[in-house]
Amino acid sequence: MKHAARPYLLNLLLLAAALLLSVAVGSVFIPPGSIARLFAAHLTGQAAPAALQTFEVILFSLRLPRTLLVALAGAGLAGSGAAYQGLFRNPLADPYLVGVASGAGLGAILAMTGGASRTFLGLAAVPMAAFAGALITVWLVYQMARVGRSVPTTNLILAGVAVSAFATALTSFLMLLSTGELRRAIVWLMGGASLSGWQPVLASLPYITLGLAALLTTGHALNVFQFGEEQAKQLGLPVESVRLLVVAAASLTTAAAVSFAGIIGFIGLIVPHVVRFLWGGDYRRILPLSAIGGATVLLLADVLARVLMAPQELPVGIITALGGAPFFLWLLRRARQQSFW
Amino acid sequence: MLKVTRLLVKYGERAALRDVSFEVPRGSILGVIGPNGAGKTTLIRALSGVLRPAAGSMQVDGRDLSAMSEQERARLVAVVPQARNLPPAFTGLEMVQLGRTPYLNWLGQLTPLDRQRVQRAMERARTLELADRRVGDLSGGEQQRLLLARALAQDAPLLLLDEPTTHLDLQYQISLLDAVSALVKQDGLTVVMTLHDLNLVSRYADRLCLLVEGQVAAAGTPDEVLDPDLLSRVYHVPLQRLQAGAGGRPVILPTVL
Repeated sequence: MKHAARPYLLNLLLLAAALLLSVAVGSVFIPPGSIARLFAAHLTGQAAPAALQTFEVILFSLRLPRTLLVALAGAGLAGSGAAYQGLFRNPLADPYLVGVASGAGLGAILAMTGGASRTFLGLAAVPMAAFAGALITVWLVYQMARVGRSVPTTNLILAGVAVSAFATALTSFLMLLSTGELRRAIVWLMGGASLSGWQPVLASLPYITLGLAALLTTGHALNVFQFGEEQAKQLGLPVESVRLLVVAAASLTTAAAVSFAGIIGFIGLIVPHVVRFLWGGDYRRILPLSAIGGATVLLLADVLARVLMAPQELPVGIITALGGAPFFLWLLRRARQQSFW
Repeated sequence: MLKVTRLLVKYGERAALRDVSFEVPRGSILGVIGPNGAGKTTLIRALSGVLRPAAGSMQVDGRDLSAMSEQERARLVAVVPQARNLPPAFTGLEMVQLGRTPYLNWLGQLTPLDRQRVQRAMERARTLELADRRVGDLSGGEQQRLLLARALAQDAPLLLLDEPTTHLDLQYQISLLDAVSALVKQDGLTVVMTLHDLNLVSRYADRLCLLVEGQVAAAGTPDEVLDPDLLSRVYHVPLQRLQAGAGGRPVILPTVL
């Protein structure tokens, strides 16, 4: 209790640093001093100094929206990853488990191969199709796993894995068939923030905010869930409605993140594990810290993706997997003596 | 206090409990015995609302348990499960605090009253010294006592214990059941517990209920139910009875051939 605020302070400081780095670094470096002056000018309603006008365009119409989108996506993926892990009491659970991510992928590819991106209206339809794909997949998984009025967790995981595999296979098949849109689709699937500008930020903001806000209230319920569904019921928790709420909120969050930022692996799996390892198993702490940490980690990965092979951009999904997998294995080895799960 | 009438519980088509009726007066311990698969755990799961009975009624002080929400039921009925697969990262105190769940809001905020009840539950289950320890670092006996404290924090008049001594050595078995017995005497709690060990149950229970294949085969005082001929038939081993137990309670032993 003494140091309850310390992990939050630390994580918020790291997030602030990552945000600054993300708006400053890229093909053109914008010094922090100039960023501060541009923000000051904007807030007071004055015109930016003439010397900074190029920076102004880059900062406000490219870097800032991208930074916010990446931060939102990272927070959404890690926050919902933590919720899935808590709900399923399964260390492998992440946004991929219940088929959300692969469903979104299939939806997007369907829209792209359908020629949607040839028109302006169609371009806006791609994320919408991804979103629809995600929600349909979750609904399908839920229906398949249902036994009467209850949904056993093992069933949900098994159905999720099967439906995911099916959707991924369909996606690969469609990508083989398609020609012109192939590259764009691959880049999107690997988590390249191919959408830019303020539109995706504003479009994803309400979903991710709403989903995350709902998830943040479920910390106590998820704590009770750690004793298993039977004991949770005996402790007076309405198990079925809690599960429905968590799945709905986490899926909404993930679908929005995936729809607008692409499929980005490992953030939803690793960040909650690190948080649990460092600050213990209380979900009232794990959920907010995972969201903040997820934003930070994805921002840093995105900065790397921009600078590693500049001027060419790498899909951020490659960075998160290349960095995430070895880090995860290292963590696993370190934690072997003391099971932190 | 607890009145179960013609209870029928099914797993799919198979009836796991059939026509089970019994009553438990306030301030007494009912021991439920029977071979594996007889329906002991099913009975605990039905009473605690995990399973929905197909027919029959379960009433606490005249109130129907199956008509209640989880929250209402958890204020009347608390369960002490076996200490298995407990989440290791919680502290003893955090775990016992979750016993207050039926009284808490959605965010789980504890009022001063809740903290006081948790403190008292931990005193009564003799677990105060475990408050800051990690659950994963505790022995089976200590974990079992914490589960008892968590159930006591629910402030429920009816306590269900499902094989609470299975993973405990003799010393912990006795100390746990002594604690339960003291609670029944001091606070007027009503207890239903399932136990495999016929001699432990004979020592602590006021009345016994013998379940065989989902039906009540015998019910009454330990003296009446622990009949060596009946038990030999039920457990398919020759058993004999000695009258040397504590307070003149019977002791059942396998016959040495």
